Formats: sequence, C-alpha cells, structure tokens
Amino acid sequence: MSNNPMLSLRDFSVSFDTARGPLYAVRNVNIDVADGESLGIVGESGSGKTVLSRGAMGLLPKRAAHRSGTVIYDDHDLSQAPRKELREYWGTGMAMIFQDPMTALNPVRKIGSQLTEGLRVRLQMNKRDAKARGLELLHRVRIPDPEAVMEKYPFQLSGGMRQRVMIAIALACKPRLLFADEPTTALDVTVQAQVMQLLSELRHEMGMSMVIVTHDLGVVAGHTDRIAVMYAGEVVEIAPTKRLFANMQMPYTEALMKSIPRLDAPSGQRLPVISGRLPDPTQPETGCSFASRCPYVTDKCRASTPPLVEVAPGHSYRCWFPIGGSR
Amino acid sequence: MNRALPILRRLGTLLAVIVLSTFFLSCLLRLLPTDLVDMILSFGTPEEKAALRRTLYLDRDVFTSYFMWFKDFIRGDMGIIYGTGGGETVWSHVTRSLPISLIIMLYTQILALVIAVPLGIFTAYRAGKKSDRIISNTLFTASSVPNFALAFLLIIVVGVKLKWFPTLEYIGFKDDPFQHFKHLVLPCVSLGVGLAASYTRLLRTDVIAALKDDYVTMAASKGLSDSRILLTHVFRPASVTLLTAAALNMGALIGGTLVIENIFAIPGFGFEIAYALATKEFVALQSFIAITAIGYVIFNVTADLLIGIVDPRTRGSR
Repeated sequence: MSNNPMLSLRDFSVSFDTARGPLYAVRNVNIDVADGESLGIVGESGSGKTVLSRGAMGLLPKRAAHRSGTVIYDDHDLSQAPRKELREYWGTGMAMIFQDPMTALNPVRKIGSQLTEGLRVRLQMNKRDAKARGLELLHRVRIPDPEAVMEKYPFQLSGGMRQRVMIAIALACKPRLLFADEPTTALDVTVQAQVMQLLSELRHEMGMSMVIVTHDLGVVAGHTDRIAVMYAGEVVEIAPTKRLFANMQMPYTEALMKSIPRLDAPSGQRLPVISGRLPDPTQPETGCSFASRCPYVTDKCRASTPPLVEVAPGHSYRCWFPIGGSR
Repeated sequence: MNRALPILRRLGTLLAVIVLSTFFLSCLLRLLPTDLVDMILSFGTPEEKAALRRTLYLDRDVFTSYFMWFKDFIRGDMGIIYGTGGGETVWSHVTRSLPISLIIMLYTQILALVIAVPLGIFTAYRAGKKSDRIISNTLFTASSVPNFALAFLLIIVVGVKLKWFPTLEYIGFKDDPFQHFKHLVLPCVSLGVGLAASYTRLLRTDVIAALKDDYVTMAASKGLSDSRILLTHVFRPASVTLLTAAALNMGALIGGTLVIENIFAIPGFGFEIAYALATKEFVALQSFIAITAIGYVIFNVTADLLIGIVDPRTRGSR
C-alpha cells in the first residue's frame, strides 16, 4: 500500500444539463482523503456536497451529469472509467450510506435479502455463509435480535434501526472508503449521536476511510479528522477539525457555526440565520460566490474571485478578507 | 394481531357488493316496459301465465322476489331458456360457455403480460432513447386500434389471405390441444395487443419512477449489475399498478370477449350474453349478468391479495 491518498479529487467538477443551460453543482474541487482518515464535508442544502460525494463515487446518472477533472481511488484513475468498471469498486472498495433509510432500503424486500445480496453477488458467498455473515453484521451494528430483523421489511423497523441496517449493508463487503451522505439527518436527535458513535467505532475497527457529508457542523465535530466547508459548489475552507473550530478564516464558516442553536444562549434570543440565498448555479458569476450574503462584503469581493490560499499546513480558505485578518 | 379480521371484513364487503349489484339488476328487470310473463308466454292461458308468474316470483314484492331468486341462484337453479322450448337450463349454458370465456381471458392476460413486462422494463431502462421511442410509439398506435377492428384485420390478412390460423370455431383442449391453441391465436391476439400496449405504458412509467428512487442508487452502490437491479429491486415495487390494472381489466375483458366471441363464433359466455340479449331471454340474462358482476368483484379482491403479496406494506391495510 502506497502513501498516496485513498481518494484524490483534482479539479473535480460536476455539471447537469438543465433547460436553462448547464448547472454547475460542483466546481474545481481538490480534496484528498488519506488512508484511515475521516473527512467531513459541510455545507447548506444545495451547496453541492451530496453531488460531490456521489460524483466522486461515480453514482450519478451518466446521461444527466457531466464530470470533469480526475478521481483517483487507490491509485486507479476512475474519472473516465465506464460504469461496468466502476461497479467493480462499488461495495467492495467504496460504499455509501444514504440520508433517508426509509427510501434507501427497498420497501418490498426483506432486510435479510438486501443485506446478504452484496455478499452473495460480489463475494460469491453461498446462502448459508452469507446469512451467517449478515447476522454478524447486524450484531456488529448493535441490532438486537438479528435473526428476527433479517425476516422483517424496512417499514417494520424504526428509523434508527433502519439506519443501522443500512450501515450494515454498506459495510457488508468490507469497503475501504465509506461515503456517509447525511447519515443522521433523517433521525431523531437522540439516535443521531448513537449512529455517529457507531460509525466512528466501526471506522476504527475496520480501518477504513470515511467521508461524512452533512449540513450540521455539530454532527461531524467529534467524528472527523478534517472538515471541508462547501459553498455554491466550491470548497471555501478546509482545515483539520480542531483548527477549523478554533481558527476559522472564512466568513461563511463563521456564519454556519453561528447558526448552530446553543443551549447556553439566553432564552428568547433569535437564532442567527444566514440571510439571502445561494447564487443561481446556472448563472456564471464574478467575484466571491458568498459576496451577496457576506456581512463583511467589500467591492473587491464582488469584483474578483478569491483564490484558495493556505494559511497553515492543511488549512486553506477562499476569502479576500479572512476573519482575524486585517479588514 | 388478528390476521383473519381483514380477510373477514373483505369477504363481508364482497358479499355486500354482490347482493347490491344483483338486487339492482332484478329491479331493472321489473322496469322492463313490457311484462316479462306476457313476453315469454305470448299465447299462454291465464292459468299458465299465473304459474309462470309464481315460478319467477313476480307475484311477490321486489324484496321478497329478489331474495327468492337469490336463494335459487346460489343453489345453481337459474331457471330455463324459454326460447328453446324450455328444454335447457340456464345453468347448463353457464357451465358450457363460462370456462371457454375464462380460458380466452386467461390466455389474453398471459399474452399481454408476456409482451408487456419485458417491453415495459426495457423501454423504461432506455427511456428517451431511440429504441424506447420506436417501441413506445408503435405500442401507442397499436393501443388506439379497437380490438374488433384488429380482429377483422387479422381475419382478412392472417386468416383468409395467408391461411395461417383458423378464424372460426372453438376446439376444447381435451379434444385436440394443438387445434385448441391454434383456434385461439387470433381471438387472443385481437384482445391482447391493446392490453399489452397499455400494460407496457403503465409499467414503463412506474419503472422510470422507481429507477429514480434512492434504493436503486443504494442497490447500484453495492456494485450490482443493471439487469439484476431491474429484476430484483425495481420490477416488484413497480408492478403494483400493473397488477391492479390487469385485475381490473379482467372486468373490461368480459366486455371484450363478448365482441370477439361473436366475431370468431366462439360459444363462450360473451356469446351467450349477446344471444340472450338478442332473443330477449331476460331470465337467463339476469343470471348471466349476476355472474359477470360476481366475477368482477372476485377479480378485484384477487388483485388486492396479489398486491399484498407484491408489496408487504399494504398487507392488512386495505
């Protein structure tokens, strides 16, 4: 195994054809995920984070989505790989868990068949071995009474249970890189923490890399090594988790942080929101993409696009007037 | 949980629908502009007419006569065919003709589904591409041809000109299996093509919708092949509408067989109904239509049960 990153995105862009012209969902993203690393991708709805993760894996429909740039997984360039070749990596190399376990599990098939399917098709296990491994997986994601759950349909399980089942399915063929797309968004707050904890533990046990996509900084705070903040399809700040929380540079990151509800805030206080909306992704723009909503905006921000600059090892941001800098 | 309860409730509904529909039917019989007895026994003596009136329970009030009729009906005593001198019972006509029609309906459904399932899945998978557009448009054209028009076309071209298939008569399976199928090709194709076209379009729409669902992306992310995903993940949830339509179409097929049986001179149930109508055999007709209504209800319940098997979420809730 080389020292190269597990996943490497270079100048990675995804666009969709729409009636109003091409829609740039992800623009020129450069991200590496190291072996065993956990990376958080944070951004609001529409920032392109889901498209980024699905695009990196190659799961977007070929006909509608255009990818450019390179995607290197484990020293294999997958940017131009046909679906047939990508499939060889799916499940066994890269796997994904989805936001809503209600819609991501097939409603008319039993948990057991959905769980063992990958094992039987991809790892050529026989029925008995696959079932034994399936039970072990359910046990591993802390599902009580796995035998009974195998015979159930998704609608017969609670949300938290369904998400655990989905984690078990994603991990079935021992992937080395797991994409978790909003893994806790559809869950109750009490269950969210349990599921994140479980994911972290399983990552350490299996030594896999993980990319957690979320809109909630709080979710990834304790479970990632690094965080990339996305806005309007671009990475606007990327830093080691601790450093990002202590030393954020990008006003958007600050705004995201401020909009997390705090228990110690005086009651009755209004929750800060980021005013305005994301820029129209079908319209080419000049200047910083956050300019229209940034509290510190200047004429320079509107006129020219800030480059991604590195302020410290592993910490880059995209802003003319970073927080803490001279303004 | 009590599993028997929903089934009992459904049987109750079924009975209610049957009773109501047959009751309205018997009311209609009383609304005939002429007296039924006068019509059957135009030259009978008053005594004979009174006897017939008693036999048909027409001397009682609407409710009593209905329940007397229904009691006899359940027992298979459906009266006689008056036009043939009273020698034949209605029941004998039913037992002779109904199986033929059911066979035609069954073959037609099988034919339609055998065409529609692969085409529906294929066109959905290739949605918007050339192959999809060619197939979909061809089927759209086919579905707009009425089945009797198609029947005549087939008779002229395939039957008379090419002489590939016979155009008249029904041969029982037991008598000659080969001729049995050969004689049913044209009737079933006439009925089945339009059906296949509408089934294909239904399935295509549902498969396209299902392909956009998260669980399909999830299945793909396991590294499964497209054909496996289509067959094991997409087809079952997408076939619910198709199943419902297939079952409801059994009702429509009863009407379809009426026309087709008359064109191909097949002595099926539709033929009997048309004949009873033409010869004013209203006593027989009442039973025929009651049987049709019961069949319709049974097909609907079967559809519900099938959907419950295909989609476990709906079990017990319908």
